[in-house]
Amino acid sequence: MSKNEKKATRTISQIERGTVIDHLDPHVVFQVVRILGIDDQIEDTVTVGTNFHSNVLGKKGIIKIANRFLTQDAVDKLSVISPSATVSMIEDYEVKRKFKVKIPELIEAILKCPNPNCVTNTEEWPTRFRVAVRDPLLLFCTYCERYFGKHDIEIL
Amino acid sequence: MASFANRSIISMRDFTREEILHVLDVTRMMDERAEEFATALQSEILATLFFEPSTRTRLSFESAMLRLGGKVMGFADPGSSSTKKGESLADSIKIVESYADLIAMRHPVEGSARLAAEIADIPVLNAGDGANQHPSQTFLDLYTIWQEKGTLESLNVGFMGDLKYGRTVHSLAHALAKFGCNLNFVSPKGLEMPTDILEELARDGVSFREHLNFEDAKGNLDILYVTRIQRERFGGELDYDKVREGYNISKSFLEGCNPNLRILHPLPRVDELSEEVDNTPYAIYFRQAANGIPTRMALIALVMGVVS
Repeated sequence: MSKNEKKATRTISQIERGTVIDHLDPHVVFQVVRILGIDDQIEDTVTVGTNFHSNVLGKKGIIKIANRFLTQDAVDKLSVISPSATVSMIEDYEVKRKFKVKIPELIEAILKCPNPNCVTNTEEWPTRFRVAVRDPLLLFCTYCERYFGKHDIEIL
Repeated sequence: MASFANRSIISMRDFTREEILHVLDVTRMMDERAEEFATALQSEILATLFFEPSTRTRLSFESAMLRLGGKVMGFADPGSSSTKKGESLADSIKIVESYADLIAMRHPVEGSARLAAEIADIPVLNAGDGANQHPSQTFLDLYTIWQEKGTLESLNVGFMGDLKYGRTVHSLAHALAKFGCNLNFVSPKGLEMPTDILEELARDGVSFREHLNFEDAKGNLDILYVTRIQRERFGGELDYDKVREGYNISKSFLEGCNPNLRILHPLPRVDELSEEVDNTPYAIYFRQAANGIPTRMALIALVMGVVS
């Protein structure tokens, strides 16, 4: 991260404990806020920033959430929406663990199949997609056996 | 090669080349030596669950089971099943698996067979799940081609008709692609092979071409797979009649073809295939239909562990 980028990133306050999601595609920042279930009822500090300068991405978004760590499901959802994202877990203002999200080979129960005649839409049954192509993302529904691009797919 | 015993037959995508060829070998055994297996499944029951009517496929599964000495039960009409009362498919399958040793299921919803197989501890044979897969049909198509040509390797195969909605065409194309066949797709505008299937073939490095008419494709075809073009797919009578003319296979239509061309059709046909073709050496569609029995006997025998 360049000096300028660091400076920009710090314009949103540090957290003592919690999660920092960085390098988000700026077009999906508010979608990520939504899928993380962050709403007006939340008690802890949440900072959302978008369109910060990024050397790698041009522009990026950042979300900081105090006192919350992401579940594996949330990380998987994040990987589908913004494969460039990094996740840092913070304790005592220190980064305890940092990783880049990775789309799993099999994505289970977190996406909705866009095919209305797929059995996962007619029965109470979790979906399962296999990654056919990583970039641009192409997913294969293992039930109805159809392919879908990222923009066809809705996150549950 | 993974064992077939207790395995479900859901999609052609689940089978390797080697496994497909093994199924064809067993099909030939059932074709030539059926009597040896006449009592193989004496104490077993096949449940035929047809949530969507398909008389021919159902009878063919039942006949195959009876020829293996087994018993059959089931329903042919969703109106007589508990689905009508709002029961989930998952619950229906859990109940039926305690009544039978094997399930053959036709269902209008895509992916229903995969779901049934994941729920049931007994093998499930997919007899058609919506527009998705119909693997026993594909195996019998492959067997017919293999029987006729002695190989599935590197054949020039034409597909003609409604390629958009033709489920049998999609899974046969996938299967033949595994054998390095050259695929030619001939269809009227609006009924072409779906883009996602073409893209998948391209990703897998399959050689294929699309044509608007048969003349462009017929040159060196070894196999022509014809499907029905349904009137309801077209807006008006005129469009349909216009298209029908170019997609009607008659004797004169076949002039200039490879003399070793063989024509398949999943039947029933309407007028895309003239009866005058029936008595030519090109026609193998009635044999293809008859191959449904040994093919389904082979699939049942394999998943029930009668043959390994």
